[in-house]
Parts: sequence; structure tokens; C-alpha cells
Amino acid sequence: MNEIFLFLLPPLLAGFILVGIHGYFGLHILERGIIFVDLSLAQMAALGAVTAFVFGFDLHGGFAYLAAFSATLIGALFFTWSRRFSEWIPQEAIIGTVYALGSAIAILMLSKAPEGASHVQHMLIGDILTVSWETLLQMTILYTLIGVFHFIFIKQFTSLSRGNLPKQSAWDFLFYATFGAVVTSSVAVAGVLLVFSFLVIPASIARLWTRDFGKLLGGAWIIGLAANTLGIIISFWIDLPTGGTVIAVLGVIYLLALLIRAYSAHKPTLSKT
Amino acid sequence: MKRWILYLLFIMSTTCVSSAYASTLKVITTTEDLAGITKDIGRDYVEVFSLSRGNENPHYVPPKPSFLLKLRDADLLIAVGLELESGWLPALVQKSRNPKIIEGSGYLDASQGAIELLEKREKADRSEGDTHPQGNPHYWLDPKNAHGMVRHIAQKLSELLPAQKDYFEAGSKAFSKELSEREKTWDRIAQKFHGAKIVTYHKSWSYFAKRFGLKVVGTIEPKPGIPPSPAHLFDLQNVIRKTNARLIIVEPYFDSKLPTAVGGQTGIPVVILPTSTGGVKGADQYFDLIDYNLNQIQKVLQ
Repeated sequence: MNEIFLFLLPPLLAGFILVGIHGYFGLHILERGIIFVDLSLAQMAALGAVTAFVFGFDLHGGFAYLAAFSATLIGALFFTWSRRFSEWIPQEAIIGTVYALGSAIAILMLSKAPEGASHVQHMLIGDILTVSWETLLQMTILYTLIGVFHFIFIKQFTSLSRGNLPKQSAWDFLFYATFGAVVTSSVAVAGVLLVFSFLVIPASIARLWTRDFGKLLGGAWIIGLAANTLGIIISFWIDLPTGGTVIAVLGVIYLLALLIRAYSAHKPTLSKT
Repeated sequence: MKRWILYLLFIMSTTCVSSAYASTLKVITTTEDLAGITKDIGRDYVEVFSLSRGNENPHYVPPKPSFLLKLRDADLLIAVGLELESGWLPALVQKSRNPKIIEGSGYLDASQGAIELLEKREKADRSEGDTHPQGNPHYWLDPKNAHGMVRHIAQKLSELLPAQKDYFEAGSKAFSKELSEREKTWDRIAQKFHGAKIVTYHKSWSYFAKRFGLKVVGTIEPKPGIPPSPAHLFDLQNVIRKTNARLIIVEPYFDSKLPTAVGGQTGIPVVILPTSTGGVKGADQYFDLIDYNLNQIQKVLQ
């Protein structure tokens, strides 16, 4: 049993770290109603990494990370800039298009790379099972820095998301840029799909019962941690690929939460703070 | 604190005792071919588990948690080598927490036993596709190389379990003896289609073709590991017509839709042949694998 725990530990910790930061960002994303911005930026990150890979750099090397982050920043700049069209087109339309385009270009590029199909799969699902301690440490440092930054400017970021601040491009860009930095390294470890699920599902479930920021964050974290732990245990127990199992568990919990919410007598208090 | 030390000592002592008196070797292989051969050599003194199934693409096996646990307990890990598994195995080995297979004597690259390696290159160039600069890694499909692999694996087993050296050598000799017998039959079957031109999906068949007198005139993939493009398939049809190629061979883990279309256009048959034991029903052992492939080709080309 001890032995198994040692194998469970790295993916478990990786999941906790991911839940920590993505649970928080998820609240913003839902508040802004730009759900697919994560998939989009994640896809841009993957596209950047894949571009570096196709040009002969190591997929997990420093250069690939730089390329991934640059691509994410370009995406972030583009989203900030394209907010001006929100009068005519919902931003989700632009964000969705970037996702589709990013995926298509990545697939086209990988079609020229050996074993491209397996890399496409890797881009979606990641390899959280074999995450290394170095990667965990890097993630922890980066996410803590970004977390602290957001904590200092929490007022600006929350009011921006809630639409109480004029759409100031600088703060908006800072939001996307920090979010992009997080997504870049998350995607390299966990893949586009798991990152998206960690972002949207725990925060969504929490929103079924409260609007209080602190409670939302606490709720999202508890749900995320529980789903992650359960998913990884099931993955080891039935021997299924780890990332996919965690996503499936999150999905089941989401469905249960929706059912409970729909048929429970308790009415939520939607007080805004 | 004291209790922990005692506990630790207990664990250490049990592991020491169990390895010192181990009656069997726990062997993990990357493919079913290696598993089958190892089992035939080691018989009662090995427990063998293959990470991939015969119908999976050995270039990319999706990692599962059980792989880590199996690798943790392994006395020996046998890989095909030549970078065949470089896309998925190294991360698992690093995470296995098993010093024996990470840097110890418990790792065996079976390609070191191969007698002849084809398609070696001076330097790797990713633009050339799935490059394995030390050679094409599908070497086990030439029985000649199987002789070498068997010897190499038997040596390793003897090294890890010296008490059973004679037993392993006997197993290895028996395997080679039967292999030699079978080779005569195989070469006889191969005579019937000697010189036939074929198209394959991936370059998995270089060794098999060379050994049994087939000539590979083209591949469905433009370069190893790169999916086919319409232009390449168009060229390939011309090659098939010009060279009078008679058969398209597809590995079980590739989509047979495109090869079937090419076959339909050019009027030549498409046959799905396993590259590993367990790849199809009726090819459960190394001997059956070669048997099956030769018989299928003979049937289709008649």
C-alpha cells in the first residue's frame, strides 16, 4: 500500500496544484462568461510547443515553453484587442474560432512530424501519471507567484470580471497574460482537456449554490481536490489512463451536482458581495 | 522514531530475503514477442508480463498506472530498443522507483542480440520521419535475428539467476533448434512467392521482406510515422502499376481504409498482418507469427 501511495503522490500533487490555480481562474472565467478562453489559450500554448517541436526542439524543453508562452501571449493580446468587437459579435465567437484554428494548425503541423497522431493525443490528455518532481516544483513556484499577484490586486481583477470596472485594456491584458502563463505550463503536464475541466467544472458546481467569492473559491477547491483524488484512485484501481479518468470523475460529479441542485428544496441566496 | 526504524529494517530484510531466495525472475517486456520468447527460455523460472498487446502500435503505448507497479517489482525489463519505445517507456522507467531497471543490471536492450540491423543511418533527421538512426527496430521479424535475441536474453537470465544457468541455456537451445527446423519450412513456403513486389503501411516489414525474398516497392506512409497525404497515395498507385506490386500489407494498428482504397484503385489485395505475437488470433507465439504471415501471403498471392 505504501508503495502504491508513492506512485499516486506525484499525479495527486499535480492535480492539487492545478485545482488550486484553475479553481480560482475558473471563477473569473465563469463570471466573464468566456468559457472557451481557456481551451483557446491552452490550444495556443499547445500550438506554440508543437511549432517548436516540428522545428526540431524538444517538446518539453525550455525553448518549447518559450514558444508556448509567446503563442499564449499573442492569443491574450488578440483577445484583449478583439473585445472592441463585442458590440457586434459575442467574444465567445472569436475565442471559439481561435480554438478551432489553433487545433487545425497544430494537426497540420503534426501531420509532417513522426508519430504526429500520438502527439495530438498527448496534447489533449497530457501525462499527469509520470509528472516529474522538478516539474511539480516549477509549477508550484510559478503558480504561487501568480496567485500572490492576483491576491494583491484582487479588487481590480474581481471588479473587472464582474464588469464593474471599465474595460481597461491594461488590467484585461494582465489577466489574460497571467492566465496564459498558468495555462502554458498546465497544458504541458495535464493536457488541454484536463486543464479545461479543472477550470470550468469545480467553479461551475460552486456557483450552483453561492455567489460569495470566498465560498465560491473554497467550494471549487474542495470539489476539485475530491474529484482529483477520487479520479486518481480509480485510475490506479481499475488501471485506466489517469488524465481521462479524472475528467470522467469530474463529469460525473458535475452531473450529480446538477441533479441535486435541480431537485433540492433549498433555494440559494444570490447575494453579490 | 524507533518503531519506524524497526519497520524500515523489517521491510529491508524481507526484500533482501525474498530476492536472495527468489525462485523466479519477474520480467517485464515492452512487446508480446519478447514476452513469448522470454517465457520459452525461462519457463518455470520466469514470470513475464508484456506492457503492450500484440495489436497495439509499439511506438506509442498509452501509459497506465499498472505499468508503474509492474515496473516497480521487475527484476528485468526487456525492450526492443533502437528507440522503438523512446516515446513512452523512459518516463515510466524513471517513475518506476526501481533502481534495478533504472541504472542497474535489470535492463536489457534486445537489439544488442540482433544479428543484422538494416537501415542504419549516420545521423538522425526528424524530417526523415520516425528516425531510428541505429537501425530499423522491427528486426525480430527475421528469424535469424530471433536466434541472436534468444541467446542474448538467455545470457541475461543466467546472469540474474546463476543457479538456473543450465536450465536457461537448455531453453535457449531448444528454442533455436525448433526455430532452425521451422526456418526450413518457412523458406520453402517463401520460395513460392520469391521476388514478389509488395507495398507496406509502415516500414515494419524490411527484415521480413529481405529474409523471405519479398521486395518492398513503397509504403502507404510517405515517411515513417507520418500519415499519408493524397499526393503521396496518388504517386504510390503509379508505383504499384509500374512495378506490378501484388499485395499491400497493413499492420493491425493502422487504419486500413486508405490502403483498401489504394488496393481497390490498383486492383491488388490488402492483407492485415500482425508484426507481433498476439496481433491477430492464431499468432500467439513467435513461431505462429511467422507461420501465420507466410501462409497468409501465400494464400493471397496464389
